[in-house]
Amino acid sequence: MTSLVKFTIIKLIIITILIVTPITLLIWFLLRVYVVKPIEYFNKITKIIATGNLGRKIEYLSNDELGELGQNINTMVKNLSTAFQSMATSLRSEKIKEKELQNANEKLKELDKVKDEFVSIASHELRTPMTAVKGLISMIFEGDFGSLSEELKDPLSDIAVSTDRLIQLVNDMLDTSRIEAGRLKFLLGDFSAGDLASEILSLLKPLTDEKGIVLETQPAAEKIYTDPNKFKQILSNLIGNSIKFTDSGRISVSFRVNGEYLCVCISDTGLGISREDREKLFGKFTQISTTQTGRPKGTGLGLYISREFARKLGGDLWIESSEIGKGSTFVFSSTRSGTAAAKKVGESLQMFVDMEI
Amino acid sequence: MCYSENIDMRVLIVEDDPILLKMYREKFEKSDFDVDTAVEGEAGLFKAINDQPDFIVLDLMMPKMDGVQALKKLKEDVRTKNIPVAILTVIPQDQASGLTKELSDQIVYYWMKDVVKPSGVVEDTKKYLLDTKND
Repeated sequence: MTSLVKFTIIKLIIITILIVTPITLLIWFLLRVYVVKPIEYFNKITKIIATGNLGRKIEYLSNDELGELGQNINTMVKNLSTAFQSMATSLRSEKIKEKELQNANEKLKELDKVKDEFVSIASHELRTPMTAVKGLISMIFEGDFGSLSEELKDPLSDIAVSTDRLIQLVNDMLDTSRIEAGRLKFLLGDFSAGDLASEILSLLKPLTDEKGIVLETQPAAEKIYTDPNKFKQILSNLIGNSIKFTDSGRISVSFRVNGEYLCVCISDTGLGISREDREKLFGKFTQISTTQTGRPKGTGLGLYISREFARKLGGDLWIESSEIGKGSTFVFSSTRSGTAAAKKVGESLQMFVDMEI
Repeated sequence: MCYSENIDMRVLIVEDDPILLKMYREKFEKSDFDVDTAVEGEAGLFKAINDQPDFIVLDLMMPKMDGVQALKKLKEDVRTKNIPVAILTVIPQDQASGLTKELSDQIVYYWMKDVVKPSGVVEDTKKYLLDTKND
């Protein structure tokens, strides 16, 4: 290669370097100022926003695509901030509402407790003097205060009957309030239906003897899973009703097995109940006034309470048949021991047997 | 009653209502019981320890120390744990708060005042004392 060619190549290289270098530097400078710097700035600001500082925004905005991007980021942050604020507000109001509900709930619980205490104290305070009246009358009749004159026997008996009615009314109203507050307690176990029935029958026998009615039952070896006191209360109520509305004939208590249940049937030869009165009888304070004249008054709560007891204990209570002038048959069912139905009752009433009562 | 002379019959009645207390006291006395009384649990406990009655009739709802607390203390104390206790109350057994199954097992009768007449209370007490004496 000649020295001329060499010189020309070197010249070309030098010229190229002299032209390209400033252009490259210029491009680098322009990129740095108009692209890299704003992106770095965006990066810095978006990092701050990402930490949760929604108050920051992109301040320097150019009139190009990057400026538009910055604007969009600002709008997005603003919308995000508004959304967060409304979420916070609604959360706050939810919290306030929750607190208010909690307070109201606590107040209701307190009121409920006060009401329970009131009912319990009222029943105690009512029953104590009534017990004294009843006890003292029984002592007068037993001759503990000297012989009783014939003229006084009748009014004293009336006082005794009225006191019994008052006591029954207080007891029934307490049972009703417990039913409605869902606070009935049960002591469950396996019992012989026949034995429980015999206890009640021997208690009520003097009343049927007095009226000249036959009170009969059949032996029943069947075991049932129940609360013995509530079972006896149901039976005593049903037989008591029969005694009230039967003037002659008989009252019989019989048993029949129906699958998982044992049905106790109380039949009488009494007044009977008309079809339209039948369902009404299970309401609270319902008594059939037309057939009541001259008969001892009840509280009108007995059948309602009995049916609730029977149902809570897994069974039911109904009028099987009744005919005006011929008598009625009331039936209530109880779960037989060892059946799935009995197990279900135990589970739903949570077995008070071994618990504190 | 014909068997009254045969048994030692000292009964302690713990009852806060003065009229009921008087009533039960009279009924027991007419049946030849030697009667001691207290109007609340603490006083009842004190008398039970000092006088060692043969039988205690205990009300449940009383001021200061109620019947359940008194029953618990009576059954915990070696000096009184063997004295038979019967509850005489207007509170149904399933509603008596604090009366555990264990405590229930330690009472010889649970009388409802509005169900059992004073004569019934006295007869049951006599029967219990006579039966345990014969055992």
